[in-house]
Amino acid sequence: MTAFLIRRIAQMVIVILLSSVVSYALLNIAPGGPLTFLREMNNSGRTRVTAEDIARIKARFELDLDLHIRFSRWLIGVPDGPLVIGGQTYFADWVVGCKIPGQVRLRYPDGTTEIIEEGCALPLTLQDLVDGPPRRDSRGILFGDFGLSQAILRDRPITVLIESRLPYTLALMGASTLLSILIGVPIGVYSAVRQYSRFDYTMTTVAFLGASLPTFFVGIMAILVFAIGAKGAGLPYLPPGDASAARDYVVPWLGKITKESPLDYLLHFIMPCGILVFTSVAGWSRFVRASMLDVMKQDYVRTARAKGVRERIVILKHALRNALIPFITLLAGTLPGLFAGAIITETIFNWPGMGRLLIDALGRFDYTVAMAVLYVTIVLTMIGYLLSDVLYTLVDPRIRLN
Amino acid sequence: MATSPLLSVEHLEVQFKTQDGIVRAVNDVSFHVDRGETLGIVGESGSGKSVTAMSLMRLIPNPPGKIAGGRVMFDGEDLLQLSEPSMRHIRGNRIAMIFQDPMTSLNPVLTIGRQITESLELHLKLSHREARRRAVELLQMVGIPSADRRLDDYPHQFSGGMRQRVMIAMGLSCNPELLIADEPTTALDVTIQAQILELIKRLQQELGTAVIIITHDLGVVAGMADRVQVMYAGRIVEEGLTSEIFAQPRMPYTIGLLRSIPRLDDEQGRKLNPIRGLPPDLINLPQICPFSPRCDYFQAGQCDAQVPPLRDVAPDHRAACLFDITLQTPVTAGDPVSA
Repeated sequence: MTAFLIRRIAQMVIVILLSSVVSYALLNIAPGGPLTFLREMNNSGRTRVTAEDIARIKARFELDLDLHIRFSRWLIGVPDGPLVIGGQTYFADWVVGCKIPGQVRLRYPDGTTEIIEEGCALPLTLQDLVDGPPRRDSRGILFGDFGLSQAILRDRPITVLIESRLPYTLALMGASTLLSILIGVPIGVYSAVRQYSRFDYTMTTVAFLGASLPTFFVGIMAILVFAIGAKGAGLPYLPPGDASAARDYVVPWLGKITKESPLDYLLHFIMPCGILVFTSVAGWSRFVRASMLDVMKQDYVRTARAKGVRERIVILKHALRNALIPFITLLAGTLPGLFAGAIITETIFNWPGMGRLLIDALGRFDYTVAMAVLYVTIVLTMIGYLLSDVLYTLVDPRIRLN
Repeated sequence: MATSPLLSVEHLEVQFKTQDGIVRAVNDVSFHVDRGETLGIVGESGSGKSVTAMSLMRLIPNPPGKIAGGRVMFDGEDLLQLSEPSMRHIRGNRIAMIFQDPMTSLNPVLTIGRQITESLELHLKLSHREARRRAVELLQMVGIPSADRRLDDYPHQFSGGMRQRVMIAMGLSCNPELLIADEPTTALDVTIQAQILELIKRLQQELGTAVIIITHDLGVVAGMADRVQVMYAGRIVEEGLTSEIFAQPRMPYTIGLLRSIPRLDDEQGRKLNPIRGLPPDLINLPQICPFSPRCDYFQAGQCDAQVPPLRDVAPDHRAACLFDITLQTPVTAGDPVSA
């Protein structure tokens, strides 16, 4: 077991590093960025943005650094300046980026001109990292320092941002995942036991609806019906978005709802949670149904029946225990979701959770925030699968970790 | 027959609904088992032997399976008419069953002890501790070394032969009057087979249990059974004392089976005589002798005109053939009756 854990944790570190490289690279290679609109402004010729302005903005987003230097600073916090050993400075003029790129003016035959960047007019050295305006240094995300937000909460620690968003996502994802499992597993078991019954067909249809209708469609329809429609018809309605109201409001039958009261939170919670349950119950119940059907055909279930065991006990004790073994893998998959949240649902319902934080970060080119969310998701995914391997040994005596 | 038999099956019909039509897996099967006796049921795959056994326990999955007719009289009661709770009281308690593949017949996530004590607690109402003590005795009885320590082991920690011993211990735990062994040795290798059969035989003599042993291995039947019945296409085609069936088979199918067995004392170079053709499709079974398409003694106009009934061909020996065929009847296309 110990040897297994050591080996797995070593593997996890490698996978985390590799996936950090890939996601960091993808995020930075993707077109667009905070400088796009500046260049457009410049090219339109109305406002002159000086090279120094651009350099300042670049420095703010760390974009003046080479990609691999930026990555290393984000991951492990180095280099944060020249190497100083015993009062002596080394590598002070090692070029790590470019403050102001060289410009080439292109004149086309039709008279239009375009400025493109070519080469580097003013390189950035390690010494400049210390000398220039203060930078967003972090000790590296590997050592638990997420660094500072670049755009959303300018220069505030990302941990503050996450702390303010995480409770909402934990509540929404935790409740909806738990509910989905509590509803989905019994439905799956019953569908398997009564395969091809009316119940099974009904649940299969509902499950397919839930699984195939996109969240944004179901979400918007729900808002239309339960918020706008119900309110218009004078029926009790649900608030269409946010986690709590900004001011008191009145709902028919329920009366006046005080803002930020428990009832207010509950009303805001119902729709996003319901949508998530509706769309994910399908997956759980179908999985359990398939797994149960497989197990119910096994010889040992027949043996249990031949022993004269009550059908209920056959299903719950002999079949379900075996059917839930593969279920653990699925359970492990929910762990990163608890943190990362539901991007689409949170966006539709304006839910101030982690999913929307990621969308906001991407929209405003807050690379450090986006990477922080992605990184934690990666780590949690790995932890989830490690946990599922350990859980397997608890529920399946055939599996030993060695 | 002085006393009534322990089990008597009368005109049993079992059908399975499939997409292609209704499969008539068991057709008009009647037989009986006396107390303490061993009955062998032989036949090739798909001949209905396992389905017959499962029907006795009412373990045919429904749907698609259905017991369409007949009676299963067990100690004076028709099992097919019993309520589900009363039937549960019979299963594992008065009739026990052991299955073909011991590798898959035990629940992988429950300990051996738990699986044995389950029926003890259920049927004999033993306390947990008593049941465990009894389980140790049972494991010792079937020859599992250091039984008390192995009680908390899981099935995967046992070899195939040991698992089948566990299955037998489980089957015999409540002292059943009837033990149905559905191909108990098919999945085991030959030396283990002999041990398991020896074990079943010994325990049967000690406990006086009646046994139905289902197999496609004629050797198993020869060594175990008092009486044999041969099944083909869901029907019993021959039935009699084991010695009689092996010495004087009267149904061409049985004769074919016996001829297709290799023998150690055979002269060198003798060719085996397999039965040609394939068993019939049980969906569209015409009202003819089901074996007639493969039969060496086929008589046009007679074999393809009716289903031959089981008839007495000798004392305690019945066969479903219209003609008096024996091992000595020459295999010719001619008329066996006049030949």
